[in-house]
Amino acid sequence: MTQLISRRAFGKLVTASAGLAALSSLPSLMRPVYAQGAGGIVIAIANDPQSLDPLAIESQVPAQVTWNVYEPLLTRDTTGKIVPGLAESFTRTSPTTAQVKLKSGIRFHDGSAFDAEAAAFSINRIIDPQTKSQWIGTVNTITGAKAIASDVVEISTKEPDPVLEARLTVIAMMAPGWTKEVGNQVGVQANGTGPYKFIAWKRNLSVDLEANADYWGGTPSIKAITFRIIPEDATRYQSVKTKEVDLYLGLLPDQISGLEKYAAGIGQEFSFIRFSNLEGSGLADPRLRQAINYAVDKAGIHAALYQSQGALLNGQLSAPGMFGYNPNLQPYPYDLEKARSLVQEAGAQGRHITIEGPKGRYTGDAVELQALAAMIEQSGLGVNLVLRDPNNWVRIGDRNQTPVPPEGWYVRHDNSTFDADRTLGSYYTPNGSYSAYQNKEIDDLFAQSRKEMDSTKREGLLHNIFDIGREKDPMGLFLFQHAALWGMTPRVNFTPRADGLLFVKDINLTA
Amino acid sequence: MLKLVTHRLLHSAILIFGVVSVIFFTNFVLGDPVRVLLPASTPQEAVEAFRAQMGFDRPILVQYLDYISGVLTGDFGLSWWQKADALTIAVRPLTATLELGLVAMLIASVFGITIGIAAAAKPDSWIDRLATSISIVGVSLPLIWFTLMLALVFSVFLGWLPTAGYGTWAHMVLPVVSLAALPLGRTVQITRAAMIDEMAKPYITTARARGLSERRIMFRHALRNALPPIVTEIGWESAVLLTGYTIIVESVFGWPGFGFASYHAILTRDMPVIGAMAFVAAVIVVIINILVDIAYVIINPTIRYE
Repeated sequence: MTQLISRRAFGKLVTASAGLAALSSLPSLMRPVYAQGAGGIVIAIANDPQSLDPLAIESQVPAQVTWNVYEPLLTRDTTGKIVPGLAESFTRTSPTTAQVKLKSGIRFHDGSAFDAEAAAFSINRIIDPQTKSQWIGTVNTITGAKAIASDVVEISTKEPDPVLEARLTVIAMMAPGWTKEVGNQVGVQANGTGPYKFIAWKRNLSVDLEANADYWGGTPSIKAITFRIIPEDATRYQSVKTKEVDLYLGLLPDQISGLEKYAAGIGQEFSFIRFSNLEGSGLADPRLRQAINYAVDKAGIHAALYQSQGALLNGQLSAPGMFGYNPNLQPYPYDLEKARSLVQEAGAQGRHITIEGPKGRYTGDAVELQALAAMIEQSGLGVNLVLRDPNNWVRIGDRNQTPVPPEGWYVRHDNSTFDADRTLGSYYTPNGSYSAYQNKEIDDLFAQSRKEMDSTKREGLLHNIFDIGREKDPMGLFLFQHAALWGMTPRVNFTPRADGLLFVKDINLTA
Repeated sequence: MLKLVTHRLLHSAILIFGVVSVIFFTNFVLGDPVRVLLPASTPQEAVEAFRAQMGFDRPILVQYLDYISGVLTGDFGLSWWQKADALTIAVRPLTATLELGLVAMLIASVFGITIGIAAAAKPDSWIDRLATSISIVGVSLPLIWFTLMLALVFSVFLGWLPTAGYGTWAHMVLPVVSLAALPLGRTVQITRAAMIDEMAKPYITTARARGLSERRIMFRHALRNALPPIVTEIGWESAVLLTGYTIIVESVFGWPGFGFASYHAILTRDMPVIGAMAFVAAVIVVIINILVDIAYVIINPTIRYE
């Protein structure tokens, strides 16, 4: 009899098939136990939080954690409108003072009472130089706060401050006793009044929160949150596909089609090229700045690079929902002929201008800039495009470090106060740290707006400024309001907010 | 041996000092550190106040001497990013990385040497050709692609293993495989070449003539003489793996180790932490080199460092 297979080979085969059988049983054994099991949610964040001290840090990642633990006096609804948070009411008592009456019966997670002393402490702490707060540029009009009754705190400002309410939305309330007791550990734990309590922070791995059963707004439906730190874009995306992660911010436009569910929020990131209109700038002639605006096919780039997620900016560095947004303005149409004739009229054919931008600071920044430069060159202007590492790019934009600014400087503006005051103050006034623009008319209007307490009148002044800045003396090439893309598992019911913040208490899970 | 170690330590101290100095000056070549630390809209007064507070307004040489004297006492400053002790931030994730690194290197060395010897035993046989193919694949895989593919296949498609995380053995599988692939391939190549070289030498012919078994010749005679280049290679791979490959692998798999932390420190330009990490990495390399030197002496007592 011919042996088809030797005994030894047979033995090997048996072992191999046993191995295969063992391997095929692995899925059930190795399918990881998901942390989000019983009514919990897992949210991926891109890096270890810098700190959990909400008064010191202004940054998107820690904010996703801290705004579930801490709360401000005034907050915003999902559309961005300011509404009471821990405050019962807000009253202006003089041009430079305001009183906030607090809700009663609220306690911090450590059991201490939330009162006017705590509110005053928190406000004074954010402006205290010792805190080294990154919010200082947003809150520095405030000079101090004091408790004038157990449930009333009075806030003073340097000058009449029409934006005070908006500033209060970024100031988290902290417990004075706890803050002093933990000392320099204040950024590695958390103790707020909010819907979730801090449990643990495992460095570079996760932050765990659990629902606050005594929350004044009612116990949240999701019982536990695990923030998992996953730096790699592709891994976050894959983790949602495998349902290890329920939700994350930062889905890339080209990954949308790969997920069962996603949501696009109105982002607060506005991309634009800031023009220099200063003497000596190659773009001092406003016609050239108009020409650049006509030469760029904004909708085309938006579709090609961002799958049209988000929106085009309407000829101004503001968007619907922001204070000061001028609803009458439109983006420049794409009109290459017009662009060429403007360049010709100005006698600037072949003139080289410099545009500086970052490489790797924002998603897709370098690609966007290369596309822009190529289109601008169609107008007859030459573009010297300089892409720098983020650190040096910031330096170029700073008027105090770069006395002669480049003709164009690309940046994405993030406006957490929802008020054009911050935008214009930074980029388009003589004192702004990132300004390369001067226009007497605008300076006067802006100075008036800073003192104008009547909000309708103030809004009118800001409308005027944006109007001048669109056509008469173009401020910039205003491009896109980038979408905030959230990837999620099918069970997550979540609508992104206008301010881009994440409040897990407003999320619910389909069983 | 003692002399060898002290000699090496002295050399290493100079090396580490150089690394620390280079890192310090890089900080200032890269731009104004203050601007990295504050958000774009911070007013200039606040920026200047901050600069003075951080001591960045002092002459650069003064800052350098200050830094070096700090380093000598283990004080690398506070992380700009997390405001915590930079050396702690650099050292804390080492355990997680050593877990991965040791397992990966153990697998790479044991399998690498075994496959290499098997290949050298019968050059041009099917084992040899298979071993060569495996090693070429291992050496040429782009690491970032390989890690993402592993996650795609074993996590997303098959659902066997988690995509990222830390804590169970299941979390360890994909990072270990990613880390081991390259050193495994290279160990196979070096072992094979070294063994083939040795097996062609006259003393092997003599041994054969004396009638020793082929097995005894390979393991007792040839392998012992082939070991120094293999040990050198494994030492070098260990150093690169711990301080280099982990940057990609740990970031992809969300493994909270040294590579993950360095990636983040570089991304945020957290200079005190980058300094501390460069220091720790230099120390790791130095320790591995000393271990390799000691291993030489053990393998071949005729090697002397005078």
